[in-house]
Amino acid sequence: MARPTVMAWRVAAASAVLLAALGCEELFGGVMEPTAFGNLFADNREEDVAKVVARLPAPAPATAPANRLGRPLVAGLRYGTPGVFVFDVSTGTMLWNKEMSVASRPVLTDRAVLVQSGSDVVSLRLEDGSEMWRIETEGMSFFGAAHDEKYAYLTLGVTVSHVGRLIAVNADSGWTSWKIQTTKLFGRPAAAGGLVFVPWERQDISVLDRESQEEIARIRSVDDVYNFVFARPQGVFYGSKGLYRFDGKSFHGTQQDATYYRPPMQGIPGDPELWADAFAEPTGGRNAREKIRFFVAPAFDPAGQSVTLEHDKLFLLYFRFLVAYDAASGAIQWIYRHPDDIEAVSVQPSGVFLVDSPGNLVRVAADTGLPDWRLPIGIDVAAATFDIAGFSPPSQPVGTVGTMRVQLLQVILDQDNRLLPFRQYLIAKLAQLPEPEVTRDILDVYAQRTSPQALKDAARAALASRAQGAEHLIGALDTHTDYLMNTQAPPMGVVAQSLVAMQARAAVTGLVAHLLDPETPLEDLQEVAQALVDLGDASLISTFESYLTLYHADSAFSQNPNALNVLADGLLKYGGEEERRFLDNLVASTYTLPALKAHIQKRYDEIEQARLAAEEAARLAAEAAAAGTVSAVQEVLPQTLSREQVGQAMTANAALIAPCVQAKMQRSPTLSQVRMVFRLSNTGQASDLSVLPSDDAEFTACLSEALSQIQFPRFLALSQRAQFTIDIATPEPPPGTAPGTPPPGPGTPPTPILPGTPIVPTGPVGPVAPPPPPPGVPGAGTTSVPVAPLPPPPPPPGVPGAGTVPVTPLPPPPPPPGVPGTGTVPVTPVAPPPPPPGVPGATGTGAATTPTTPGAGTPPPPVANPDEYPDVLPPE
Amino acid sequence: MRLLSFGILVGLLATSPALAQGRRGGGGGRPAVDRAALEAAIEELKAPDMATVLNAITKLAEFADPRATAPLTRLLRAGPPDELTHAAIQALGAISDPDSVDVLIEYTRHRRPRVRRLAVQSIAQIRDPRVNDKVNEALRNALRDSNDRVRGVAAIAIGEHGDRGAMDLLFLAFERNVPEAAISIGKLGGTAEAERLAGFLGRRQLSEILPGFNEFLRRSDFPDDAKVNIIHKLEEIAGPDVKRFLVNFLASPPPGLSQKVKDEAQRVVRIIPDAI
Repeated sequence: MARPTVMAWRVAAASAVLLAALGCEELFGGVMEPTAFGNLFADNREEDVAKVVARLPAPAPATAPANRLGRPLVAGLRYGTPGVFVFDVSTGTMLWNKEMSVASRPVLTDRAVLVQSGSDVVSLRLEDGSEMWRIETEGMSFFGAAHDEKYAYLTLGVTVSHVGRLIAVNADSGWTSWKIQTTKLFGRPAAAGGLVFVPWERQDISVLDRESQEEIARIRSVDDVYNFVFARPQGVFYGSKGLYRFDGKSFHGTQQDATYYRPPMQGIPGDPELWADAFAEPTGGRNAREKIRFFVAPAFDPAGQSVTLEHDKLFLLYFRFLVAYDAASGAIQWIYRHPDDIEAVSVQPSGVFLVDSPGNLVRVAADTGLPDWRLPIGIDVAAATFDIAGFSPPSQPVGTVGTMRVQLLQVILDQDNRLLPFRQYLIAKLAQLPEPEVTRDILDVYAQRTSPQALKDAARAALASRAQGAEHLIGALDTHTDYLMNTQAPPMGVVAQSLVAMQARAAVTGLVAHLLDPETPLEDLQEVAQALVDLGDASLISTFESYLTLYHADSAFSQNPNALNVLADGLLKYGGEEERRFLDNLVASTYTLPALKAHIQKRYDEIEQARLAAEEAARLAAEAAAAGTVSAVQEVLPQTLSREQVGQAMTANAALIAPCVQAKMQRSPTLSQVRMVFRLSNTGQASDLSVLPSDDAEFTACLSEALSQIQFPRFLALSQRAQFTIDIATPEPPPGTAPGTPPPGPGTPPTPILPGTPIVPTGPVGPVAPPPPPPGVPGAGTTSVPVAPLPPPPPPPGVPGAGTVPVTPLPPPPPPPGVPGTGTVPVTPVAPPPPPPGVPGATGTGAATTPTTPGAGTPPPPVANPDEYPDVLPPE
Repeated sequence: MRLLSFGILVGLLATSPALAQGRRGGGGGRPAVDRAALEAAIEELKAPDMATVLNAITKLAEFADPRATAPLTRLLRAGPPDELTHAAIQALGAISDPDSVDVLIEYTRHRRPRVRRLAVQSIAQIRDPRVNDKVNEALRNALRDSNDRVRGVAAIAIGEHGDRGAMDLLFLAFERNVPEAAISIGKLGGTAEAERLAGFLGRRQLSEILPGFNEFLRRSDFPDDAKVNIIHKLEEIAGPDVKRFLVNFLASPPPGLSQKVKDEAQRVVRIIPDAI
């Protein structure tokens, strides 16, 4: 090694003096012992957090751009020939447009645009795009930057090996003032009040003093993850699925105790982020991830004690669509359909600004969703970022505001296949609207030849949830599949179910036509037959007999005889001795399908059991009458189970059903509702389950197995049909619902029934049950019933359990407050809650046919109401 | 409808009024059927085993005697197993009794496409002005069937049955990929329909259009000029398929084919090279 010369020593000495004069920290920058981010630093200390809060500037409204030029600017990346540009929005002029390779989205600071270019982070002067400085990333990824008046703070890292580096760079000179490198992955930082907020490992946020480089506070989530942190004049905010305000409560580390807002919407496809993920490596091009996310702006709160959003709305970007959600209710307020992909969005007090792919700046009115200002940038845009606080050009709305129904339909019928999951999601939203025409709309979506199968499936499910618009369903029955005319019958399975739910007896003629139509799919035929049995009357006997005659020995039904079975049930329901002999002949025939024979024989057995039970009940009643007391059986056993009783039994056994639904959701993430229709025998056994969606044999088998393990209460009638709906897309209210407005329809606000289990029993309506009365009316079939923990609770007092028939009079079960015959079972969570991403909460209600429990002292004979399905054949 | 279980109902067959009255026995220009054999076959329809019943149906189909219509109709209305259904429908087609139209029409709406196809074929065999409207409507409806084989059979049957009123429907079917409709168009159409069919040249497979032209060219009631026009249309798309078609046509010309048409066909054959 060569010895230093005298000159060299002199130079060195002079340099040392100079360094001292300049402030050595900036020149020596970089070499620091990482005292911050240490494992021994205590997190969630109240006094530490208080110190941070004390240093933060008081919340203030954002009234002017943050850049030194004081002009509203958009910095962006060019599409096509790579480059960076800065556009002055107030004048409509391009400040500069520089060709260069770019590997990250632009970060707009007060004086520069930061981008990753090659292996460097480059600072481009705001005024002219000239390079101010560049920092070598040394092979690390650039996660983002924050800035204050003194420094730019850059986070770099290696995701795979969990290496994080925080660099404080003099914002003007580019000299590294200090840097910290750890084995923790850092996300994009934030800066305010001389403090640097660094999220790491998606769970902690460390707060560093920019001068001492020491960590002065750390918050750590105990029930959430922290995916981002950002600073605005309104305050410092952080979070993941929700938004926390950094304040004196942040030390709790919990959602409940912090100042926190969580959007109520669930089930949005793509699991959009509330804010750009600070740990996602920024890319320099168009990015699908950035096209499915929320955009929000914290509103100014002088007290700094809340998290409220500008316009009280969240804005969801979905490629070309901008959807405004009410922040409180989660209801869709409007949908704006843009002709081109939207590359960036900024929520401002004057409206929602966006930049589209062809390079147009557009403002959409926050209250109506109408575009009211437009300014062409002039170049194709790949990405952009805004600094336009206070900018408010004159409003010139274009177009008119359509109804929510029209807005939803426009998106649902959009042909862009990238939007298919979103279109499926919106069909469920459309189905929640009360307008009867919506039923027709959904049918039209289904009938469109161009509709993808997934959209048709969603339409089927949506139709099943409709309670209004029976006239449109009846009208749709006139349409049959016709190859020449290229017409397609409506989805008869779900149409038939919906007609039953709506008690649309006028549909019988149309249903008969579809029963006889060979084009009706076999899987739908059962529902058509069931609807005829449920909605029809004795005038259908000849139709049922003709059909059974034609097909009783035909292989058309050898694999699936359910429709024939249902029609045989119909003959038992409406017929007399003559029809019984007809069925006897079917049973006697050599050629009758074995499954049909078995079904009829099973019904015969049930009838016999019911007859014996009736005799026993009559005997007990006679004895009681003789003794001057009330029949024990009459008082205890209901004629049929009420919807509440079915719901209680189902919710009490939610743990049996939950795995099936969860597995189904994994296979079908957009699943929004499950409908189960089954038969209950008077011994409390369920059978003959049909499920919607019906396209998953594994799912049906799983539910059948689960259902077979549930012991329902006993009742007097021979059997009854019960229906149970699991609504997965709740608790989000329907679109257009004002905050605080209860959702329309028969459902009450959903309630989670099983932690982590998205099961929602909602308002099942027995096929012959009348439409449920409005919420709050006693006897309404839709009541939130939390699912009990395992093991299932014993039957409620007074309701006989399996195989137990009290022989002494018992008092009737005390109805819980508000709703006779239903109750809320206290729930103890059996599992920690966090649902998987995209898995919605779980709520619901259960119901069955309206109970006809006689009052005390009512004479016993358990004769069925001829208008109800639970039916007992007339005595032979 | 009462007590229509097949096993029970066959007992009723012996009381068939048609058989008892023998109202159409041996009529209609058909060879006389031995009454005893006919009665025996009808009696065998009551047999408990399916093989015997099937054999009886086969015999009745061979007899083609309208007196078997009623027993077979009742058999069908009792909802027999598949094999018997198929056989009975075919037997009714063989008998071609207009009295069987109603039950056959019912079976054109059966859930199994094979049954619908057999029913359409059987209906098409019934030529009786009293039931023409019913038959035509049934065949036209069958064109709308979702099963392509049923549609194909219906399209051909319309031509065989001579339902000229179905021409627009046949063209619609042809446009909707029912190639068999071309045959009926060729059987029933006039010069305008031949032009209309020629309009599909270049838009549809030639192999789907040629059967229609073949029917036009072989008809004695179709004008020579229109036939020549068809040949000229084919000349415009000269190719091996056209040449093969015309060679075959000339090799087995229809009776009474005019020299003019023959010469024109030969000319076109000559100018189309063997391989293009």
